[in-house]
Amino acid sequence: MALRRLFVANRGEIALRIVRAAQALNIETVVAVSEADKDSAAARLADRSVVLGPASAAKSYLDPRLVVHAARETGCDGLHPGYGFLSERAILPTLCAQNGIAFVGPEPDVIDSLGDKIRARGMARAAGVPLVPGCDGVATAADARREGDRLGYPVLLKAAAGGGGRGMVIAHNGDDAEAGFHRASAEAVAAFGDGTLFMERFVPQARHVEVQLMGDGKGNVIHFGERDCSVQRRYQKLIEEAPCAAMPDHLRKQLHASAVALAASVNYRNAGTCEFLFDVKRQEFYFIEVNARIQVEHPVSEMIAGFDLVQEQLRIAGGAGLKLTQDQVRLSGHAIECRINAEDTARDFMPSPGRITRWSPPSGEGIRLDSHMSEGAMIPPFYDSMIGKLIVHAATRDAAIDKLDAALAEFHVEGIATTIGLHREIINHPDFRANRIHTRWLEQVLLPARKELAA
Amino acid sequence: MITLDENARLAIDNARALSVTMIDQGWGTIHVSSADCEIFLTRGDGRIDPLLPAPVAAAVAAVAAPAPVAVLLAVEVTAPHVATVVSLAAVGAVVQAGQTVATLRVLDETSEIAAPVDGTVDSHGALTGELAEYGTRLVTLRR
Repeated sequence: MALRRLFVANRGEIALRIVRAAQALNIETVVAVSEADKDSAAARLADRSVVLGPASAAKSYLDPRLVVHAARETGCDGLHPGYGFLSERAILPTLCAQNGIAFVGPEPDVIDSLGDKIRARGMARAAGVPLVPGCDGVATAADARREGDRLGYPVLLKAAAGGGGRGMVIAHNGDDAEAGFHRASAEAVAAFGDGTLFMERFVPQARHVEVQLMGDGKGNVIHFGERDCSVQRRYQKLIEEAPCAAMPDHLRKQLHASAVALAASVNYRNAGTCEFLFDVKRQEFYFIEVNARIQVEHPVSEMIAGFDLVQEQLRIAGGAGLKLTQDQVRLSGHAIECRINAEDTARDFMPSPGRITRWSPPSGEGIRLDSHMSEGAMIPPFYDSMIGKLIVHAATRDAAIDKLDAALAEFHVEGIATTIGLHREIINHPDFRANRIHTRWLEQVLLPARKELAA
Repeated sequence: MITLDENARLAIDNARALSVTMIDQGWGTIHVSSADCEIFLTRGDGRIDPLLPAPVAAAVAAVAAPAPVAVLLAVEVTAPHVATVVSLAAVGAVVQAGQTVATLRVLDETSEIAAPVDGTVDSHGALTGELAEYGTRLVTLRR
């Protein structure tokens, strides 16, 4: 049965995006807010908002009991977690199920399995998906040295429950591996409450490529092509594009087939992303992880597919099957997204909260802005610094870059520092234009050169 | 000599960024949230710390003139988070600090809200059985 009233358990641009998608399907919306977000754009647009708790995320957005209680007591029959916060915590869909609320996402056991990177590697292996050479369990520092010696340095020590670079250490030799074991394990315990580690061979100059998936839990899984998210700083994506222009077609087909096979093996329901490392030199790709939620960068896939993924999420959560078959998914042109953050790039990307005194966004054909900001809006210091996503779509990558450059030049924000200027520098760099980038490119090439110029 | 790896440098960079923010931007407050760890810094007396329970509003209800000055102090007890109101102390009830003035429920768990001061329940700000959002006035105590 289609959803009637949706609880939006998130904030910022994604909360607004979900409210709009729900309204397009005639679904009522209730938005969860913290004290700091009472006057947010999503709260104003929704049919109702509920103040969960104070500004502290731990006492509002990150408390699954408060979220589900508020959803139930406001008569919601569906709950969308967005991304971040509780979106990949199995406790949320578990509590939803116990309280008669349809969770807009996968089943709790699927979230749990995929969230554990060691288990996810096992599932990928079983589905025939290529893995980075590595080992699944590293119990001691001596194990780390032995496995590092076997795999060949450099190697990555990674937290089984990790993400975002936390609990991750690069080791260049046996001593590094032993020392790194202690550090990564302690960091993983602090960040995720679980110090379990695994190890992979480090792939230098790799690209981050991921496949957008959608399943209906009825045995059907389709993909919406791949995204290239190689422009990163400290493992955080800054620019994403679709398709991955550096990948040859025969490899692209294998990539899509691998991602679909993995999702199909768990009868995946709703939106998900299968992430891979693409070793351009070897022309091989390796499984990294599955993100069991909608992702920040989903709009680039929507732009090349001409399809609303969030609306499809809501339909599937309401019990519908996939609206499209794989043959009906038509991908065309090239899309690029820039994450606009309230950060001062000249001061080591320091967050720049405060009031926006001027907000003059670009517009035009093939230009999309997903943002919750407006003139006079206040950016609180309590949450992440993303204030919007600028997305462009054009026939080719070159045309998309030109369009993005023009759109960024037209985008004026005052009162706070933003990453708009940095994005123009990135996309106009000869390496970006020539598509010679990798996940460390920004930190190894552009940012050091920028720092030198400023000195 | 200490050799720092990338993660150690990252941690130091983050700490430095915080310090620079404090000093250069003149912030009185910084709230740092990472996983389950939260840090709140302030140069003042900390009363606006968002990590603390909602402040208890104290208001001077009336001031008589001339001297001697008679002051009636009203204290509002508010919901510390969203919850369903199970029960409220009756209007007119005399309560001591620490005594329950409201019972709230989140899913199947109930919790009791204690009076912050001695007083008499003057009025209700919420209805039993209804959802009270964070900060909703539950009862007002007259001292």
